[in-house]
Amino acid sequence: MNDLKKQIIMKYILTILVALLISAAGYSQGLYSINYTTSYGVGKTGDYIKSPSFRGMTFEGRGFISDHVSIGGLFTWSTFYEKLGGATFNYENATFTGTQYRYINAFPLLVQAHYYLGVDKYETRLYLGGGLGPYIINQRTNVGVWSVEEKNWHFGFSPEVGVLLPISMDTRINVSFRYHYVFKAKDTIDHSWFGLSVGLAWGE
Amino acid sequence: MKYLLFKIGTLVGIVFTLTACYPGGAEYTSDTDLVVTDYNPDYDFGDIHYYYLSDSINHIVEEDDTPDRTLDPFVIGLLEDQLNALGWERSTDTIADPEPDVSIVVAAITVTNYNIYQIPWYGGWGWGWGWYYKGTDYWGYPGYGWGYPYYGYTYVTSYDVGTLAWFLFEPDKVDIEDELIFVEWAGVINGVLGSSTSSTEDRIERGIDQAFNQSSYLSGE
Repeated sequence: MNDLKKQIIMKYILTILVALLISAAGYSQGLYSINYTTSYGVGKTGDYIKSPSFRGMTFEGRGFISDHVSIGGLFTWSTFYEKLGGATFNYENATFTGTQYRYINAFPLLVQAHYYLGVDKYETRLYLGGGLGPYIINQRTNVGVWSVEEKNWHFGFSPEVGVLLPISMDTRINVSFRYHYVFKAKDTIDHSWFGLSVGLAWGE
Repeated sequence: MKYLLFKIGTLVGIVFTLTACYPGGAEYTSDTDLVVTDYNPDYDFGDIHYYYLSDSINHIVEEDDTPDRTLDPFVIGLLEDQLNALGWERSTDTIADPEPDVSIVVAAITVTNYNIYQIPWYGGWGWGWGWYYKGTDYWGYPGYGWGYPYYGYTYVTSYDVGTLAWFLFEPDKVDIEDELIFVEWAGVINGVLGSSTSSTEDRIERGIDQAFNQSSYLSGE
């Protein structure tokens, strides 16, 4: 699949997700949220970049199909970054030494379902759930004036636990903790990280 | 609905403000320095006793350009010190007696690279992204056919990248008929050029030191 097709598909998916957000905003049985997201790489992602990510955001839209169950969509952008000063690495018989700048931009585009404890929407509600779907992951290493980049579509899933804390009739504070696992694509590594999101949620 | 959209727009703006500060990269020219060495693992560097090293560097320049040889003696001196530290002895004549076991050729080249930037740009995105909220008439984002697309503007920067490379080979193994030179060890220093000669000398010295430090096989062990 060429880059143009990928971009067109991504635009369609984003359009659907944005439409979902907007419809959730106007739907009496919907909930939408905007969150600040921090991420902590583990596994091979953590080996590649040890520093946690403090650059991230998450948009979510959820529609309730019963008192306890919602379905919806999620879009996250998380950026991992680490500078390795004077790092040395080998490739076959060659040895390279230079300051490396490592980046991962991860874009999960997930379909989600959640189960909520309790039925009173004006009380604090815990929820469990998760999502699955495509992830766009752009992994780049800059060293010297050179750059090595892997940009691919992956498939992954993400279990989640969270809580909604009401602060007004239609506004809540959302706190969620989730784990992402992303299967490898082509020659890439498989990625995994934990994400902590804090934000505001609106709706009924 | 309008109030909700306004809230969304406001929060999106806040989140983008918080997150759009893309993580950093190289800040100084020395941050771009790269040292690369490569070698033939089947070659016995312990057999080297004498080497030939010219007093001049092969500068690769445009036709009619005059190479800047200001740093040639400095570079050759550093390489000589490092090679002598291996216990090898320099010969400045290819037909000296004893005949040198290996020759080392040094080359330098400067290339101008160009970068083209599109504003707005958020790293990792394949296209510009600009949210709009304007009254109640319209709103949208670029490339989606809604609202008023925001194309930003483009600017171009250039920078000079300098490369210093040296190649060690056995003159006796050169395939004259097919014009092949079998390189047993190569070192390359590459980075964005600065304007200060003293800074450039420091970077070259650190680079050559690193090249020899990461090539422990040269001592024949």
